[in-house]
Parts: sequence; structure tokens; C-alpha cells
Amino acid sequence: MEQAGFEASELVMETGFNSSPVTRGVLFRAVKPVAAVIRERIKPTGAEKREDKMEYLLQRALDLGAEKAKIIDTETVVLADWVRWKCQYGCPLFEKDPFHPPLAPDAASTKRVLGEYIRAILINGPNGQTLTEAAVRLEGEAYHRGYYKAFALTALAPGGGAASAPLGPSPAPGAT
Amino acid sequence: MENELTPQDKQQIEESIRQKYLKAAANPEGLFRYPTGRAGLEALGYAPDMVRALPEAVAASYCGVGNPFLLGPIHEGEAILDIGCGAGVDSIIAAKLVGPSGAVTGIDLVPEMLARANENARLAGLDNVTFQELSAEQLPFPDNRFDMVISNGVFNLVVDKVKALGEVFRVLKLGGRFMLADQVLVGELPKETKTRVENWAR
Repeated sequence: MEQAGFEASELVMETGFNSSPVTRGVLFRAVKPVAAVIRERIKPTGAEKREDKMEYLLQRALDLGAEKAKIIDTETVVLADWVRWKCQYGCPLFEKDPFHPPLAPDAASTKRVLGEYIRAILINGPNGQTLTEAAVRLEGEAYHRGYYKAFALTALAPGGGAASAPLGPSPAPGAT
Repeated sequence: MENELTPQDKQQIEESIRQKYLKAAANPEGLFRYPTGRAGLEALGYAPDMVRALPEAVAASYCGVGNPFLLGPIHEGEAILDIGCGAGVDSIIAAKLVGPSGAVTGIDLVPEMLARANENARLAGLDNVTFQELSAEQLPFPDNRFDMVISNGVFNLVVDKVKALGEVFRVLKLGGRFMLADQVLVGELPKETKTRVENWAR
């Protein structure tokens, strides 16, 4: 699927019905990326400055240590309550800091807040702490470029200290 | 592995698919290891009100391996492509979901299946669904045409899956969704190409 260009490809479940002993019935979904929608929408409207600023933030994310950075539409972020159960049962970080349940915002409130944003920058890389620091730096840089709502939504506390994190729940990729 | 197949192998595979689904067009009961017809729709978790609303002949023609509608909502007014629509039951359900302002296109390789699909759409009283004899590997639609592509039990039969996936990607709108119910291989393929070709559509 990724080879064809899809993203968010996901084997959702097995159907329980198999057509032969060596096959298994599955449900699978994938999405054609929407980032290009944003570019197409912006360019014809003449908002090049806004585009430039986002391009700058994407490049900064890479400079700060992210391996990949892309603009996404916040409407495409999938939120579901079952994830919280995964955290509650079996995750060693449950109840350890404000970045994990039960103190971290639940799916409903996260969805509500994301609804107040149009775009986000999704950053990806192997080192969680580096990404956290990068996201927090990006939040500040986005703010100073006029994205006053920018917020770094991270899974770790900045500065490396999980339980002693001074910030509230999850600070920000630059969302506009 | 698929690249090792010759054009003759591909032809043989497509012919065996046609032969198998030619029988299924008349009546799918007993041809598959999974439930078919109305029982299949119910077992796979299709919305009960949607299943109840299907005319008996339409429901009886269902043969799918899963319920792609469990994978996300379809919205009114959307354009949907159903790859390997068979007798058109999923296309008909999608057509009801998108409503009169939406449109569904079902494609299949088997003319007898398409005839059954057209008859089913007539029985269901729908005029926002059309069917065409086409291969998933070469779609004649423009780029960014569909909001969603659905497929049920067909991609496992496609010979050049990479090419077909590329076509699905191309015809989907930016942000468009691909919802797939299918069979994946969890065991060994037969080593001999001849055996693989003969078993392709079994």
C-alpha cells in the first residue's frame, strides 16, 4: 500500500471467514494523502507567505532532528477511546506523568481541541526525546511567525524528565 | 512472484475466474467456503436495516468475504468505485448510502455478473449506480475521480496487484479512502507456477 503512495494503511480486523486453509479474511483500509490538498488549496489563493512559513517550519523540523515532517489536515487524525484501554492495561507509563492517561486528555476532548485547528505538522523519527524537543522548539518558532495557537502535542515531557514534567498535557506540532 | 507469470498464465487465470464466477452469477450458494446470500450479509455484520431492505433476489446473489462498510462511513453525494462488484450487492448498498446526489460505479471482468448486477440495481430501484466490464489493472477513469474505492474478495484474484493498487491510488481524490475486504495468504504458495496458475481462483 505504501509503495503505491497510500498512507494510514491499516489492517483493521480479521473477518473470521477464510476461503481456504492458507488464506485469512481481513478488512483493510488506506487513505490517499491529503497534504497535497492543502498545497493546492493555498497556492491558487495567493497565500504564498503562509505557504512559505509552513515550508520554513517543515525544514526546521528536519533541522531539529526529525526524519520526516509533513503538513496534515487535523480532520484526518483518528481518535478512538479503545486506545486509552491500551494505555491503562499494560503500559508502564500509565499514571506516571501528565503525558499519559489518566492525566492526558481523553479522546473526546482531544478531538474537540483538534477541531479548533485546520492543519498540523506531523514529525517522525526514531528518537522520542529528540522529537519532543524539536516539537517544543517548533511551537515557539511557529508562535513567533504568527501561528499564535501553535501547540506541541508530544508523548514525552520536554527535558527528559517524565514524571517531573512541568508542563500540562502534551505541548505542540505547529498547528494553525 | 507475480512477475514470473507469462501473458498466457494471466489469460488462463482470468479465464478460470470468469468460469468460476459465471457459475456464481447464477447462484453463489455452495461455491465458497464462507456464507453467501442473505446469511452471508448477516454473518458479516452488514447493517440489518440495509439487509432487510434488499429484495430477496439481490440478497441471494451476495458473495463477499467481508464487510467493507465496517471500515468507515460513506457520505451523501460521494462518488464510489466498487472494484470486482460481482452481482453488485455492495454497489447497491453504497448507492443507497450516497443517495441520489452521489454515484456508484461497479466494475467486473465477468459479463454474466454484470448482467446480474444491472438486474439487481433495477430490482432495488436505483438509478445512481452503473456497471462496466473493466479490469482493475487498467481503469479508464480520470485522476482524482472517486471519494472512495471499495472492493470485496477480488484483489486476491488480481494478477498484477501492484498495478491495480496504483490505479486505485490514481483515481482516488486526494484524501480519498480505500476500503478493502479480502483474503490474504498466510500459508505457502505452491512452488510450481503451473500449480499456482491452476489454483488461482479456487
